Amino acid sequence: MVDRGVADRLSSNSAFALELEGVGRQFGALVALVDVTLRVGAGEHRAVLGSNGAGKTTLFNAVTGDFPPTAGRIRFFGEDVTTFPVHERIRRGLRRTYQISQLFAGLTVIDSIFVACCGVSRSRMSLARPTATDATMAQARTIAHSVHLDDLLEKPVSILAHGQQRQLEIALALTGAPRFILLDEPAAGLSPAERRDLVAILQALPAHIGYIIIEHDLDVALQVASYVTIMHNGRVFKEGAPREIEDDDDVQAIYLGAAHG
Amino acid sequence: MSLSIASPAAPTARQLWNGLALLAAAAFLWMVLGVWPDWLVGLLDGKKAFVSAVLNGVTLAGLYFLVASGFTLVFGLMRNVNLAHGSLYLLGAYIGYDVAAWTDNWFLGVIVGALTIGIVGALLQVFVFQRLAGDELRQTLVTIGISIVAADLMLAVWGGKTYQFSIPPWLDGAVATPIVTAIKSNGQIVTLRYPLYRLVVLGVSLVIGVGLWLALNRTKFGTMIRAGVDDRAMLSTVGVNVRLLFVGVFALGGFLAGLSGVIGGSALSVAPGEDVRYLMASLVVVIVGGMGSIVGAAIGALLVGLAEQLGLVYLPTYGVVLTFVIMVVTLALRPQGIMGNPRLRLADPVRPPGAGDVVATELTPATLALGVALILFPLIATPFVTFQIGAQTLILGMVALSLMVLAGYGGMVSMAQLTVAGVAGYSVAILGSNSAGVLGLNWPWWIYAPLAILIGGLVSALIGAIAVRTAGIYTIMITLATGSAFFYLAQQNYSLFNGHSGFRGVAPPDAFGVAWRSAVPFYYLCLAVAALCYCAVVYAARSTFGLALMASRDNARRARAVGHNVTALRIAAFFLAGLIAGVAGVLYVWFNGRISPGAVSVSEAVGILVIAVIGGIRHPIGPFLGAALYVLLKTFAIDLVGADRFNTLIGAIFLIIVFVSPDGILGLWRRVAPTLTPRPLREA
Repeated sequence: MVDRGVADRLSSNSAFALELEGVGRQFGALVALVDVTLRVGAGEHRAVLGSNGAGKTTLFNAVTGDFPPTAGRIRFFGEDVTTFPVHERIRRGLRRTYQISQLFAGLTVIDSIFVACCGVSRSRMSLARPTATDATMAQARTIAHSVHLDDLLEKPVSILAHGQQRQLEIALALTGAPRFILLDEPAAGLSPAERRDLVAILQALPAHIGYIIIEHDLDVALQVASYVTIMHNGRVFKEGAPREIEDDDDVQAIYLGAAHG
Repeated sequence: MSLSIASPAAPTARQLWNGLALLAAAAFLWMVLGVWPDWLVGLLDGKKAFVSAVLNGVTLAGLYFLVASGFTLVFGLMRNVNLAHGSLYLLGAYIGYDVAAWTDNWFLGVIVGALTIGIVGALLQVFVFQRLAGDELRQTLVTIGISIVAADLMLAVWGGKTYQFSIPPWLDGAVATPIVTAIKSNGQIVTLRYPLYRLVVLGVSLVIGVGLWLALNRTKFGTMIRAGVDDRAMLSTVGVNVRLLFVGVFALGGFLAGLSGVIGGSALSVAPGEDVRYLMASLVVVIVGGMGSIVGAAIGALLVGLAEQLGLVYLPTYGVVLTFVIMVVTLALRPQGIMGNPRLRLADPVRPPGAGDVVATELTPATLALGVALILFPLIATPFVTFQIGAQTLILGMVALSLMVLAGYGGMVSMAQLTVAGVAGYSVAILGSNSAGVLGLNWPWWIYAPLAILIGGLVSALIGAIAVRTAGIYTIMITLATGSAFFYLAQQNYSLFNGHSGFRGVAPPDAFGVAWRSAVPFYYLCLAVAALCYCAVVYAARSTFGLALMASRDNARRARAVGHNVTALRIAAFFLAGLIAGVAGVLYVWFNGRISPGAVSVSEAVGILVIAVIGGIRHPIGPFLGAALYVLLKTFAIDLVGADRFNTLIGAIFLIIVFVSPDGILGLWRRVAPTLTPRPLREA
């Protein structure tokens, strides 16, 4: 299964979902990301691994525009989005989840998902209330169902348990018509049962939706990704199929803390 | 570790700016010291006018810097916008005056004024702000409450008259300066004479400025403050007594406010209203210069002082606009201020009290019953009560509703909604008819009324576009500064706003055969419009837009990450809220029959915040409850506390509400109501 993914990636002639060229990000004197060049195919499932401070989340923030890159170019399905504001990238089909859940504490579960669905719809500024038969509301319910939140639709987000918040975080990334999703440690803090759920949700995604997943749990990462990028000190350190990466001495050294760059 | 890649051939932007600044400084120096050619004299009304304006600007800047430095220090460390800073200034001035007059020693006045206010600052920190630690918005609201009460009590003690210090004779009078203003035809050189005391003020502020900079950068106390500005949590983990440090900084801020009160009061004068003036100056100086930066305060003070004085000479009726433009340009280019830390802008988002929960959004039986009661109200009330209390409550309630929409659903506490109503009111007077003999285009009501409302919406959107460059507490400061800029503009400008007397004789039309100016019809007009606004808000809160606005209040970053344009949402919210304020403004000018700058003064704008907070900012009915209490107290305060102490009363109620019930009366009721209903006999 893993090998087929690699083969797909190599044989596919379709446009890349994401192309990064020499992307860098500095915060004052702190260099968080250096010269990252990365290509991810449409529909590809990629894992990004690396120790704390390797630049993984900074990479996501650069791609979504939360903290735009200070160097380099980013193309999304061939379009240069480097200088786009966050919402313009999202409207082109990019989605993300956050390492620390970023939710709407004052809204209910269904309203949160509905608001997220509206973000990419034309009626996002409508002063009319959604009707009972509203298509967007129906989509929101479907998404809530797919992440097992059906029973909590009218509950305020602020009372959800951690695992439920992580599920809602995923739900927000599935709204609209996503083409590519950045998943920042979606399994953080989940129980083994919840992790199995998460893996199932990711595996059930339509084939055309690609994603990058940051994950410390190698078991989870290798189940849902067909190709792996290792980051270290803000740079891309190594890329390869999961098996190559697992056997790589340099990668072992990084993970065991023996080598530095 | 940082890589600096500068190509040797092309100058960097920084080098270019430095070069330009150097050129500008050289040109300026020549303009002050050199002998002017005729074309320049013609252009700038002679050298004396220009140089005097510059000197006035620089010395005023010295004073502004003294006031603002304490303000910016306190904000930098505590994120506490001390809107009572102007009150500390004025109190220092009064105390200094009394001591100086009593002992006949001006220097004693300076010292006692500064020290007393330093102690007041420390006491405020210990007994008020520490109790609200970590809740910046409530701290800011408390400072507003304190400034209301303080202004009123100072008025009670020192009265409304203007005090003039007598400064020591050797500091008084004018001195010759080496600045050549003209060369007479006989070759005699004329130099400029300038008041010595103003130069002393400049000198003192320079000494204090350098002293503060040294204290911040060269002492342990300063290191701790700077560390606290960057990361407060870290400071306490490394063993610094943060509580004591905060008290120290507040004492220092108070000391500086008191000092500038006496010194500034001696340069100009001491009178009620000076508190607001120096608070506003401090706000703009700090917004322009950057929060928490002493150097920024100096730059900001210089820009504002020069703009104000040069504006006075060269743009007499639009001078205040110059200051405002500086603020807006700064916010557009560098939202964090010239020397501000960009991270401060993003840090510490604030939520209005009570917001953050799902705001109730349905018409309940209780509100419907209230509606019926309001319809029947004129049957039992006298026309006076119907008009003065009923209609005024509904109108002020609508202005406060406009604020509630922005604060409750959008998380943006706008202090400029009364300004928006005022702009709509002025539009009615200008486009319709008035008896002031100025303007009054006599357009029919069905053109000017909708147009005035639309103008309200657009002005509100414009204010929103400025305010959304930043977030949280900053919104309060920027909208307050914007509101006060409009107040001063309306007061100074005669061609459009007819100066401080404004417009009289504005009345509602006799449309559809009804005399709308009589009490009962006008009440029903207000009730219908208020009910419409209320229902529209209740409905729209659950609309796609309303949900998205609440979502961006709760988590703007996440709202962007699902495709919402948060800036557009917020500006649209300002527009819609502006329509409500605009409607209220049209009714208000009809209600009063007149409009003048006094109707849109800072203290009136603060009154709208008081109404919204007292009533409850979490539900659209809150502003109307708050307005009812406000109007009742204002009407009957004469029997309770005497006619003049209304502000002390309302300020005290406001303070109690902020401390006890962040959701206002509404929250108080929700908390009390369950205990009033009978409980089941056996309770676990």
